[in-house]
Amino acid sequence: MSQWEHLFIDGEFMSRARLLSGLTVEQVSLRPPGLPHTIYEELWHTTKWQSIVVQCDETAVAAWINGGQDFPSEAPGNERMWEDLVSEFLAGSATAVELGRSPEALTEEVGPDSTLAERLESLAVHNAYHLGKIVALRQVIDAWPPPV
Amino acid sequence: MQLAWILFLDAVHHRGQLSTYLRPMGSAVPSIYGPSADSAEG
Repeated sequence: MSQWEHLFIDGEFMSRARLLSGLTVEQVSLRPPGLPHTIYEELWHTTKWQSIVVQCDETAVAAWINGGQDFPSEAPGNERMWEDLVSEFLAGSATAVELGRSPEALTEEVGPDSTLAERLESLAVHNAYHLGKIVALRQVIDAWPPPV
Repeated sequence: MQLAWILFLDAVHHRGQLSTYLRPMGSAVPSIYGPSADSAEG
């Protein structure tokens, strides 16, 4: 397994595909008392930032950092919206792994004082943090562990 | 390098879990990787 597969696909904690599996749209829309975000909102936030980073879109990176929309404005209206979001997240993670396959590309500067390798490492940390929050939310709503 | 990443990613992942439990327990969520809704900057 490459370092990037470890960071983005299945290293250290549960595989990202399984961690996000077995949830209904009703479950991902639940907002437990005292918690600010639903599972859907946490994954939306994580997925959108990942998409911006792996597209290497510096304009979008700057817009996000300078007050972009952090969380969705609407709850998912149906199961398909949740499934599409999971697919988008997993596809973005696969793209991150692909980007990491080129040693030359990894050393290229993609932003102010930031190489592609550093940008991908930061993204992996962001993903791990919010996936940890999703695990906690699943525990709170009694939807953990995911089905095998 | 690989070992460092294993330890680091594990810590980050569980820090995410712990930060989720703070607010329901009556604690404020501090700034971690940026301001939170409870932090002075948030």
